[in-house]
Amino acid sequence: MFGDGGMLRLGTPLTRDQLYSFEGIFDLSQGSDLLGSDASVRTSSGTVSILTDKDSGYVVLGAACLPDQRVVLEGYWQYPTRVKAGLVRLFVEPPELAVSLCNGEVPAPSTELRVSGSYGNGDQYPTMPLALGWARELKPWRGRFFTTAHHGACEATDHCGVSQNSIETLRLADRIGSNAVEIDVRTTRDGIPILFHDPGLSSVLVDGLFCNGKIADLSLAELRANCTLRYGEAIPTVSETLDALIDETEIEGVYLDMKVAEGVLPTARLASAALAEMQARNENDDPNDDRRMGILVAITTDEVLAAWRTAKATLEAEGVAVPPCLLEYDPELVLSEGCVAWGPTWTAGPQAANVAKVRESGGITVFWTINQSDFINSFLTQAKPNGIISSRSALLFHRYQKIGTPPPLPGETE
Amino acid sequence: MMRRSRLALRAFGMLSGAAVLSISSAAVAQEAAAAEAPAEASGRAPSALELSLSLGPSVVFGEPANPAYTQSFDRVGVLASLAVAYRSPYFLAPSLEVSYAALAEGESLLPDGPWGAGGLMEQQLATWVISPGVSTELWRFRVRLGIGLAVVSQSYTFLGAENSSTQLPVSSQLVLGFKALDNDLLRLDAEARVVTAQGAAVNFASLGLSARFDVISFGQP
Repeated sequence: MFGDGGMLRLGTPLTRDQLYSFEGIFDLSQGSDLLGSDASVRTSSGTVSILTDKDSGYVVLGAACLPDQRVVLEGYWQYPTRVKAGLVRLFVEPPELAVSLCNGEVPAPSTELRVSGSYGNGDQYPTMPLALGWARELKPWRGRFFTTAHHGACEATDHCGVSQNSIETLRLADRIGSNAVEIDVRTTRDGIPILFHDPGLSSVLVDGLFCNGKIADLSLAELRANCTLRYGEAIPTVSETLDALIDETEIEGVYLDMKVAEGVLPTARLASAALAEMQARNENDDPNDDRRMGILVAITTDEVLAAWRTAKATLEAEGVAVPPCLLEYDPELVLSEGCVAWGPTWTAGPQAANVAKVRESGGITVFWTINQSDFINSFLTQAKPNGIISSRSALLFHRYQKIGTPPPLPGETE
Repeated sequence: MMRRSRLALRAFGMLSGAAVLSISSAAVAQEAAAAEAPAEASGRAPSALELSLSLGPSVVFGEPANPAYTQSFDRVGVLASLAVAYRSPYFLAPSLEVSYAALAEGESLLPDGPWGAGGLMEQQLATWVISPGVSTELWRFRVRLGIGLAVVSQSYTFLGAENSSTQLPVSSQLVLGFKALDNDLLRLDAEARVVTAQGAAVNFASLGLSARFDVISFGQP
């Protein structure tokens, strides 16, 4: 970000409703070296994101109305797999459109809308020209196609400045194209579900001289006192994560990848409580606190399935609502187990017939984990799934917009 | 009790580390001629099964993760090792070494949090290193390289409860020795050692004294 706070600090942030006006497919007239010939623009709370299939790059911008009635979009660009990033400053054109935004209006998207300005490399002041013009609306994606972040915005080997399975990476995922997140769940020795991928602590994922051993051997106190994630974040609990996703993001779906059977019951309790809290918010008289986010407990192995059956029986006996589940490996079991989603691995191919069968039965399909552009293309066109888990959210979002088919809503036919 | 024995071991390790410098400088002058003589001339068999014992202080690299919680932290520990080597008449000598290092200890004050009540947490980090390797001697210097397995043991005491966990990362070590004393019965080396257990991010160095002697000789002196 701009070291001195940039021009954003001088302006009044645009409202959430105004940001929606920027959503669409944009054609680039300048700066295609950076972003390619076209890009998807989507928004989340406080952020306008430009998403491309060129090196899975993205631009994350804040938007504000300046005292001189110009509207500035300011932030940074980044290629996650390369150590390349820089500053971006754009202005809304034509001036009349900027004035209408500054007057608090919410203009309808149109081909009149252009944003132009410049980008730079590293901390350098942006001087290279960048200009985009609104071309058409985005295909339906909210609640339709789940661009699912693979344990956060980036891989551990990427250069995003956030660690996988941290709350910080989930906030970033919301800003760079994801509308759902897959997170890995393990339990500590004292039975608290936390986010962590590997069974053991290693220098790839954590720092700390006294941070050694296996997750299952250590209590939450021991982990939090002695370990930080690679970029200094705390190892989050599932409870903290669900709270942050509900209150601080617009993420629409959470895929709780159960790595250990012991975690199923406590995680299902947390999911159930979070879903009940959102339902209460949606049913009260205050529309401002409404929040809808699906939470799926993902069954990954036979051992986890056995634990899920026990957890379901326990919750039912207690009169607690059972959260929805996703089954990763057998499409036949999805419905017989009462799950709502199938999560196949990409290695078995697009499996279009199975995807259609699950859909006919009222379920959804979310493939894991596809990062390559060619594979994303073939799964989008052949399987037409409801979502894909990927570490390249910007790439996946833009490819879906270019060649994907919006999955039908429940009750709709294709 | 465990803490007291660790302190005693550490003090002994410090003494042996300090002794390295004085012994090496004093012995160099006396033993220079003998060390340069071939093994046959010193009355030693051309090959033998050699046992060595090492002891010295260690320094572990890295920092505690949460400085805000850290009350105290000591990165100086002690390393002791036992090695068996086949001293061959050829250039390289195969060896197997088992080391134990009490590496670091610390105390953190944890506030109340999602884990429940806060309190004082004690941490101890130690490791066993089992390391096959090879060594070679060049004049008074001996270089040993080993690749093996570390058994990293992390222990905590929190609110009166003790807990520990172990990891088994691959380890590698490089040992550089300087022969300070050499006679028919005993060789004394001053040793510098660097050990890394990369998977657990445990890396440390040690300076110590090593005593070597033949337990089984092969061939005539």
